[in-house]
Amino acid sequence: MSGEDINGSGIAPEDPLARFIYSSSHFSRDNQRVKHNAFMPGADGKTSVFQTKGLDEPATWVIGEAVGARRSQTLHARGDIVAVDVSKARVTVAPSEPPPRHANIEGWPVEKSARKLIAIDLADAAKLVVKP
Amino acid sequence: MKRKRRHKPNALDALHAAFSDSGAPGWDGYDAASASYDSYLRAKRFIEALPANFPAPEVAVDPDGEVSLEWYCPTGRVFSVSIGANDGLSYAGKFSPSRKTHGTEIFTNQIPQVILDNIRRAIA
Repeated sequence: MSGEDINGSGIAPEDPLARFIYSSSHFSRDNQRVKHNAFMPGADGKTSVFQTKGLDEPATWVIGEAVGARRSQTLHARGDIVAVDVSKARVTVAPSEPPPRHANIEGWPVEKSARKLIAIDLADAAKLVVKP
Repeated sequence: MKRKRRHKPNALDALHAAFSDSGAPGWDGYDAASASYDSYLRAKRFIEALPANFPAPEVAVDPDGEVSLEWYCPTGRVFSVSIGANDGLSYAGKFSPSRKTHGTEIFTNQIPQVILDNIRRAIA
């Protein structure tokens, strides 16, 4: 699969994506899981993620910290998925820079219950990484 | 000695905490709307209407400001219902990779049977 990309986005199926989490209610420490609420799209119909390919852990957290600092929010954790998880959930991922490495999960259905089910699939695929 | 059930008080505490943490626009670090007070009140009513033997849901707020209640089983089954400001309920559940559901219902004084049935599926 390496070398191919998703819908001409330049993002390969195996590329890692991080959803930074600034709300403590959007993940569970007890169950070590990301809740689907973390992946629900905003009013613009998009879920903001960052491409983390080639970044080590400190560099990945720096991105999330920078985003949080601009919005005066505390970074708690992140949900790591790979791009193919997005395709499997029947939505798409597209680069959206600036900022560097930024991308959006797009193509969400209008009906909220359908969006919730997609977000559940994404959260199910995600690995929770709590900020040290 | 019989252990006293505290599911509903726990859920109501969690509801209050989630609502308090989501009071300002952008509380999720992105562009979330403030938690809706109407949704909060309906969520409180929903929790109070849950059967006494149901486990407490986990409480969160969606980016659109609606309160979301979720039942999660460590086996991976999950069911969630978002409570709209106008009595609308948007629900979705995943019980296995191929057994999923989603839909909408209206919440008046009773929790719709389909919602109760799906909660039972998630926690079974």
